[in-house]
Amino acid sequence: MRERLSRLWTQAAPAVNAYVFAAVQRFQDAEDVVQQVALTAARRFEEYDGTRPFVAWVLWLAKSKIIDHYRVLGRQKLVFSEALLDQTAARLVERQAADHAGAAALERCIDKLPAKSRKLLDLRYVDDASMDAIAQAVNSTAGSVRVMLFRIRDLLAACVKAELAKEAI
Amino acid sequence: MSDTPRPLDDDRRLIDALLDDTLGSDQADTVPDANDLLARLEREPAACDYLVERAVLHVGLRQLLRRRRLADWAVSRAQADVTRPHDAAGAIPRGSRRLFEPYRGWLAAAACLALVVAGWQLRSRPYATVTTGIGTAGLATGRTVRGETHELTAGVLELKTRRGADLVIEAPAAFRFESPQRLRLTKGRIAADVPPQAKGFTVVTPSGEAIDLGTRFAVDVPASGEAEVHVFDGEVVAHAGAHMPKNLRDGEAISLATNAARELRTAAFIRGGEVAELAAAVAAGREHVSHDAAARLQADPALVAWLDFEGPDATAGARAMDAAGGQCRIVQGRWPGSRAADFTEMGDHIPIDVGAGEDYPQLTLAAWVRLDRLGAPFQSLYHTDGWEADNPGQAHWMLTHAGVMRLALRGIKLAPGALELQGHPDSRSPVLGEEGRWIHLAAVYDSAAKTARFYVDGAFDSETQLALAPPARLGRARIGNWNMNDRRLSGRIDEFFILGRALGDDEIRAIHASGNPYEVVRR
Repeated sequence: MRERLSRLWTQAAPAVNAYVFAAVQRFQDAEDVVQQVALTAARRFEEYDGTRPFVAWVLWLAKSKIIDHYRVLGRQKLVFSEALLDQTAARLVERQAADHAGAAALERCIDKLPAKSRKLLDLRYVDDASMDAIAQAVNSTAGSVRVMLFRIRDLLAACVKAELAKEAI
Repeated sequence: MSDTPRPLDDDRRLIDALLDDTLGSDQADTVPDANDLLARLEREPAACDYLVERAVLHVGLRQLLRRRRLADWAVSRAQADVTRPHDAAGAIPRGSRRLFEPYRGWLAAAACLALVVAGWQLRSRPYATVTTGIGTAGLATGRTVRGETHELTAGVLELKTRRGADLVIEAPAAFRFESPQRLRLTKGRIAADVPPQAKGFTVVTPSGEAIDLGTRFAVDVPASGEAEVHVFDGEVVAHAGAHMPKNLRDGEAISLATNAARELRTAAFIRGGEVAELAAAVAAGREHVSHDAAARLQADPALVAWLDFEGPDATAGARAMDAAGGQCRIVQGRWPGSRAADFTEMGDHIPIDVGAGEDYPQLTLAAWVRLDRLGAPFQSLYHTDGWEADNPGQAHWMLTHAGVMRLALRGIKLAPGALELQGHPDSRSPVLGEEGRWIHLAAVYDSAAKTARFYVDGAFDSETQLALAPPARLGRARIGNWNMNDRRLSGRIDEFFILGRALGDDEIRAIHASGNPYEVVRR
């Protein structure tokens, strides 16, 4: 059973990570919430109905953990409504199959970026640096860092799409 | 495209700001803006789609870039690696080492799985499919494999061949399928579980080949040294050069080049059941939790020694190895791209000389180990050289033939009524399972409290009360084989440390929980 859960969890993890991150935004908070979801999934695995998609069940568990998280934070944070949480989950369940191929494509696309863009990404995604800290590190302003990151992500999204289209041929 | 209205550019910018957690930091964005945005996300499918796509991208970038940083860091200190294992172990003095050294771009790329396409790729049906790739970015789950050559520098790869054989290949490895039934392995470790329909599956190595007759078996091809075949179950024909083919049955192992019998090493190979657990832990980001915890431990002021085998910057370790002639193989540790010491030969050991001339009223010894059950009386973990009658406190840490952990100190005496018959503190429970898996072992000595306490996988096992308990003394010592006779070791050691204080139950539980490669959740 443990092995089965592990396999299912591995497949569902990208969707769970994206779901919680979308709703919670800060990586460290999101990672804490995902840990809670994993713990709950392990505890309640017997309740999982094997005829339904595992990812849907885990996202359903995640939803209540997200709501718990909102409750702890009180009003300091933007709060997704239940309806929005449900819609986001439904979309993730639909697109799940593409994820593994997407990861490999993303890797290839990152390699195509110029060094400066990769440095920005590293600061943002590995070092968890604030926009101000990134701006300081690259000798720019927080505003332009936001714009640069926005453009890099656009580039990457387009590149991943093109790479996946190539594979489909 | 015109049928699905794209979210306005403004909304795309706001959604990005939301995910960057900077919404409201720009004067143009106000809280009502944010609430309007949430309302539109709920109302407009295109906006919600965009949110989901971007969130997937964000977490994908986070995972991939963090993994690269780790791989980068592993490779940057792995140049001496497999070919010169003697220089590779690192005895790190009092945690001064930085875990992450940023921005070594091309090295990072090299650390991920490098895929070399040899000749034209045949447009045939795939020979095998990747069922699980742990830390093998270029060979991710679901990828198909044909006749290309693959160089695996980090991670663990599980494949299913067209005929249904399950293979687990551990880095560092180089392999190529010659057909769905023939795999050429020029280095690395492979474990194969071959069902009847794939009978005849063959692993070809530079020193010979192993032909399956329906079985579970494994092949170890070191970068330098002789390839070995190990049979766990069923039967295999081993065939090399001028030698007569030799049939091997369960529990047998041989060196392919010489046909000489070897001891069966189950701990040397990762098998199917273990892969899913390792993959789940890595997917849950556990390796980062583990690295953070290791960094904290290395900063402990009471740290006496820390060996994680990761650093050429650990020059002290390298010198000690050269001077004292230590030997072992450096192989993959608990995480993709990390390293551990592997003891395979009779005399394999790592010399370590720490804490000489000091008295330690309290001492903690701990390590992640992956060991075989050996017939030998003792598996030696840490043995000081100065075990003399006039040198009380010298420490010997080992596993006995009964599979229990022992912490022997020269000059101690058990309290009356102790259960141990041989006069040394032993754990109550055996610590080794049938098959080698990673386990965490710790022994805590306290001369003032007059106790020796044992921990297995973070859990308290037992306490032995002592009547006489001198302070512990260290100095010249060996990890692994201590003498060539009854103090042997077969298996891997990772994150071995000595601490000059007694760790408590909670601390040891936390060390295990954060470093456990099979754990998905944080306890």
